[in-house]
Amino acid sequence: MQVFEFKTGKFTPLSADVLAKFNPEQRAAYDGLASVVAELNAANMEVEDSATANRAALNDLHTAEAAEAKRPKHTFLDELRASQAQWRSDHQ
Amino acid sequence: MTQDTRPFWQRPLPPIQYPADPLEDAASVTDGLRVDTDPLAEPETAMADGAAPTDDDPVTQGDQSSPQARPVTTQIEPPRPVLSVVEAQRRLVEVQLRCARATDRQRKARGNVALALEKFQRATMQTCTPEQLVRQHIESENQLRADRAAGKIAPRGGQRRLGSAIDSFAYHTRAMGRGAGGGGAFRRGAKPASARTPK
Repeated sequence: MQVFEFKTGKFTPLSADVLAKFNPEQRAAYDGLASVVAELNAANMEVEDSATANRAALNDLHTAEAAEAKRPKHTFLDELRASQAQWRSDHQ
Repeated sequence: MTQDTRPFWQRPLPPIQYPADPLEDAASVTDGLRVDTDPLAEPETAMADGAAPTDDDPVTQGDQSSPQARPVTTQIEPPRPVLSVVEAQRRLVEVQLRCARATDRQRKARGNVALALEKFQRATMQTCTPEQLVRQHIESENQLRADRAAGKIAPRGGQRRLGSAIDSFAYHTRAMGRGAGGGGAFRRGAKPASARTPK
């Protein structure tokens, strides 16, 4: 009667006739085991999803940094010089 | 398609779907704009009841018999929008926080599984009374004696010494007839003075 396999994390539910022979304590232990295995599966899926999202976010950051490096720099100093040139051309 | 039975940490990672180069397409650059599709949004199942998932609530959904069974999607995601560096860093930090929380939750779940397994084993294993244990011990001892008498197993403790004092004296003086260890040097290859090589 192998219910849980550590190596693969595989949970094998027991059949109904086996569960019918359990006393209440054994049944409670089995139900607790099933619930925590479900929790573990959910946690494993969450870890997988977060790892995928982490890779995507890293990729986004690299893309953003590349776009930032490729974009022409537009600073406040540029605006100041442009306004000064405009002022000079207006007041000449 | 056969289900991969290996645990997820031994399976190869899925290939990363890189988006197309957004710098070549000027229309796809939405730098500094609000992006409609949030790629890092929380899944709907976690926020369905309006409460944040905690470590204590048991998750009863999902197939318990096949832990790693997930729908295999082969569709290619659309190219992701280009974010500003600050926004991308903010989202990366959020995702890293979510990774840490998920890993911590996984660690706690593994510990809970180990505890529940131990409890299940204690509840379902066969327990023996002291009388049964003594009877098993006597049976194993008798079987051991029978095997030793039949020559199936060697007696413990290496070579069996003789029992009486006379026999042990004969054993220890078997080489030269002197005391314990006497004459052992000659037996081990030494020569008496008359047989030595002259200097």
